[in-house]
Amino acid sequence: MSLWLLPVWLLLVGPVLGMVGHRAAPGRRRLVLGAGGATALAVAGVGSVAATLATSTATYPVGAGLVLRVAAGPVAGPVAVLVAAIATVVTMYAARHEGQHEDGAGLARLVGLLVAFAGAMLLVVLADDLLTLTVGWELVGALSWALIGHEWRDADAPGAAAHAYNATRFGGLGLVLAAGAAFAATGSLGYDTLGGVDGVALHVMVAGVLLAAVSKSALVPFSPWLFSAMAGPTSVSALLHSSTMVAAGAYALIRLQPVLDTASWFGPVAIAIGLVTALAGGVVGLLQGHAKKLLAASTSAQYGLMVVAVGAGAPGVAVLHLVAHAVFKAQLFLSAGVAITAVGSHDLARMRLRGVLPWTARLTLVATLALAAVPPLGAAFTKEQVLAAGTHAATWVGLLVAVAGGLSAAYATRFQLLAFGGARPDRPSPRPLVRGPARVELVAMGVLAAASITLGLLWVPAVHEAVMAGLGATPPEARSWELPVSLALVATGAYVVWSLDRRGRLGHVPAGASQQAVADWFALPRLVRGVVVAPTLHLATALATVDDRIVDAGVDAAAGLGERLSRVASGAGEVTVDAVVRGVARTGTVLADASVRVGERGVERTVDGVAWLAGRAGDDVRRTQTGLVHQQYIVIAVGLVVVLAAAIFGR
Amino acid sequence: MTGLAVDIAFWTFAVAAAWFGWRVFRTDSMVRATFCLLASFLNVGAIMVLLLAEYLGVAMFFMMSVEMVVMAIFMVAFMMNPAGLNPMEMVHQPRAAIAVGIGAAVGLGVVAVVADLPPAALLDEAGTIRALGNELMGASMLLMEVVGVTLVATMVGAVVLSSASGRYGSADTGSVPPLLDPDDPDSRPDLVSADGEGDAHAGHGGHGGHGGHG
Amino acid sequence: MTIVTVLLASAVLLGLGTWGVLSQQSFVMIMMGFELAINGVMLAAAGVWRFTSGGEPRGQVLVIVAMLVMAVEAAIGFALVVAVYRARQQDTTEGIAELSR
Repeated sequence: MSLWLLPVWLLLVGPVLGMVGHRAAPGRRRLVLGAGGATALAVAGVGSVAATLATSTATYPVGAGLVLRVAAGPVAGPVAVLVAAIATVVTMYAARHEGQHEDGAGLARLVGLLVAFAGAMLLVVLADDLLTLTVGWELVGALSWALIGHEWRDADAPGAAAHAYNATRFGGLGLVLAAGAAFAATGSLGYDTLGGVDGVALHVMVAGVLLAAVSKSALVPFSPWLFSAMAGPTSVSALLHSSTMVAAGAYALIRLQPVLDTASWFGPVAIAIGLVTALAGGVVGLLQGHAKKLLAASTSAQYGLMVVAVGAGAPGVAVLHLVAHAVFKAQLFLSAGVAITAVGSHDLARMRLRGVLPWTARLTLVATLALAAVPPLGAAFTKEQVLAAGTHAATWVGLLVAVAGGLSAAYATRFQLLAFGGARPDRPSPRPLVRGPARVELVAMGVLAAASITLGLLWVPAVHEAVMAGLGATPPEARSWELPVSLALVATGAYVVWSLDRRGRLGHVPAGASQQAVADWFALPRLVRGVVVAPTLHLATALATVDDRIVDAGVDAAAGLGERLSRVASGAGEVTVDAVVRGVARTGTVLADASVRVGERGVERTVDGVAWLAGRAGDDVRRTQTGLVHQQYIVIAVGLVVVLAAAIFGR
Repeated sequence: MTGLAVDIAFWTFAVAAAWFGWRVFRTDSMVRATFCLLASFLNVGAIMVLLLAEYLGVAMFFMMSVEMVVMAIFMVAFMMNPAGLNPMEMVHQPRAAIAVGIGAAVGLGVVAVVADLPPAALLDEAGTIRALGNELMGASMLLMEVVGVTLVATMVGAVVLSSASGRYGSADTGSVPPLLDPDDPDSRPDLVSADGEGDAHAGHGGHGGHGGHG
Repeated sequence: MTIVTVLLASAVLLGLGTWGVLSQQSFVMIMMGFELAINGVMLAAAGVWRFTSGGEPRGQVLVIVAMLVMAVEAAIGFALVVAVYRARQQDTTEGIAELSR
């Protein structure tokens, strides 16, 4: 069996399924599409398992010395299985969930595209040379455009789809650049020959791949496109954010890490981008009032952590975190979809659905605990590994990863409380239920929750050693301070949010304009519009004008233009130098003033915050002093378990 | 006994011990609960005999028989339903308790299955009692002395805690400090807090007396 | 009868005892739960002695110490029950909450 069949099968079945579903009788359409799509994807999953076990490879010469290659290696195989598995569950869910507010033809298109999309992603995952990677990359990008713009009758959707497509497409140019550099240097594009690239070509290639990955994985400064992508249906988000599309960027870095690492600047730059994204994403997630955008911010943050691991030279750890994240993030989006449908709004302020959706709330709790990285779930283990890898690069990197973990615990708690917390008397009451989850949707969430729990086996030393050996990596040596520090930060983050909520002070929506701007990725979209989009448009207009004049007026006009330009330039020169000097001086003064103000306020706020936290924590600890022996026995029993677990697994 | 017979006996005793242990908390009669606990202990004692710890097993039989009879007396004294004539349920936090109990059993069971315990069979299967005797009266003599002193302290402590009258008066009114000068009644140290406590307890005592009359 | 089966049986006894301790209201019943849990501990200690010690008699001494714990627990426990009952007319944990905040 040729390995090409795996992606090609899905890319072919997708359109066929779309056509069949389109023709099917309206009553049976959901069933046909759900069963058909899930079966096609499950077949691909089984095929991936078989290909992984056989570590099969395939080639396809396209002439001019270029050969397309795919291989199910130690990293590619398991990730391919993951992609197929998550896509199966999500498709199952999509056929039911989107089927309720979607006319029949649209559903057929959606499911067909989802299946084809998974096929394109498989091509990215299995690619063994830069050309195949680029082909898959562009297919993923184009199909994501179609998926995000699925509800094209909405006013926003086409624009949002274009935003997402342009942002990732711009990054995709980096991949083309990288392929070009590699081909110029070695005359080949296979991953195995990339090690021979050096000199300028190496730097161009590394920069290109990094640019492509940063844009695809929605890291800073490309993060805002992920918010635009929220215009798509929820099931699309679930697939996009977990194991496909966004994963493609981090995955490319993981696969190419040995080559990228030969450029000395790659590690520090990747760590810096990853940390900035993880921390900024955490803050954004804490302020967002839109259920899906909160999760989108957390996606960026979690991919930031993976990129930190890659930058720190531990791609195996990044693979594990990718897998754990894919499982719980897919489930979180499915839950968010159920909640959004239940109340008919994206607004977190009107949810608090535990009373009306008890099972969804319980299943979601598993995923939120995984997002918060609470042991013994597997996601906690992978986050600790990222932390250990970061500490290997530098202690402060590890500490910042731990801080990012605390932030993720905080926004995970926030999501759980606002979306699935119990109703509170002092809050806007939940909207009347539009519709509860169907059984298929619950099953899909249950499967993913069970997978999250199963990943907890990674804590067993024998298991994670075997898994890491299977990925061809060695687990980073963990320092003894890491686990306590990161668990303390996780507990603090979750506690602060919980405590705010208990006192009725947990915001649903950003309060002021400045907070609103932060919640919208620190006003990054506006900045990009002002600094990149508008100047580009102006430049294009100017160029067009120049072009017109040259064509129209010919050489004379060109000469005149040159003359005028030179006159302007000489005149401007004197003025400019003067202005620049004065401007620099003024900027320095303004910056100094601002930093003094920010510094003072920052220190003050930190001190106040710590005092507030200690006070609140003291109050809450007092609440546990019931004086009732049987309740204290429970505390003792749980404490014993923790001590024993630390003794057994702490080592 | 052959291996198969030992296995059958072990499983019988183990299942019986667990079943009686479960019945302790599910029966209405308190006296019956006590004897269920006794049965659980006797089964464990029998398993100890199977484990060739005959001394311990027999010690269990005697010790637990006496202790459970004492316990039955307390059951009759303190519980309102010693004979189980009425159905009763005196539990709190039942679900948390079940969760923690199952968690403890499963957790320890997993450790038992997974843990790598180095096997080292008995060298002298017939002489375990003699070896234990030599140990108790030899190398572990100090330990046994401590055990003895502890038991004496326990006896004294139990009597002090449960007796109705203390050295300086009724036990539940607290102790009164002795006179500093035996001839002067005013030389008693004045402990404000002790007086306050005494008043509080007197109130309780009065309440109790009232309940007794009713 | 192997070390694993003996330890499993003791784990079940300890779990039952824990459940009893946590769920019963009456002091006397709570003490019975403790006794059942210590019962499991003694069984585990005897099993470990039998299968992994090679006949070292100090393993049995550990069981005797566990028995001591049980005897002290029963004696002092009942004395406390009597003292509390005399002072408060209470025989359940809900009745004494002096240590609450």
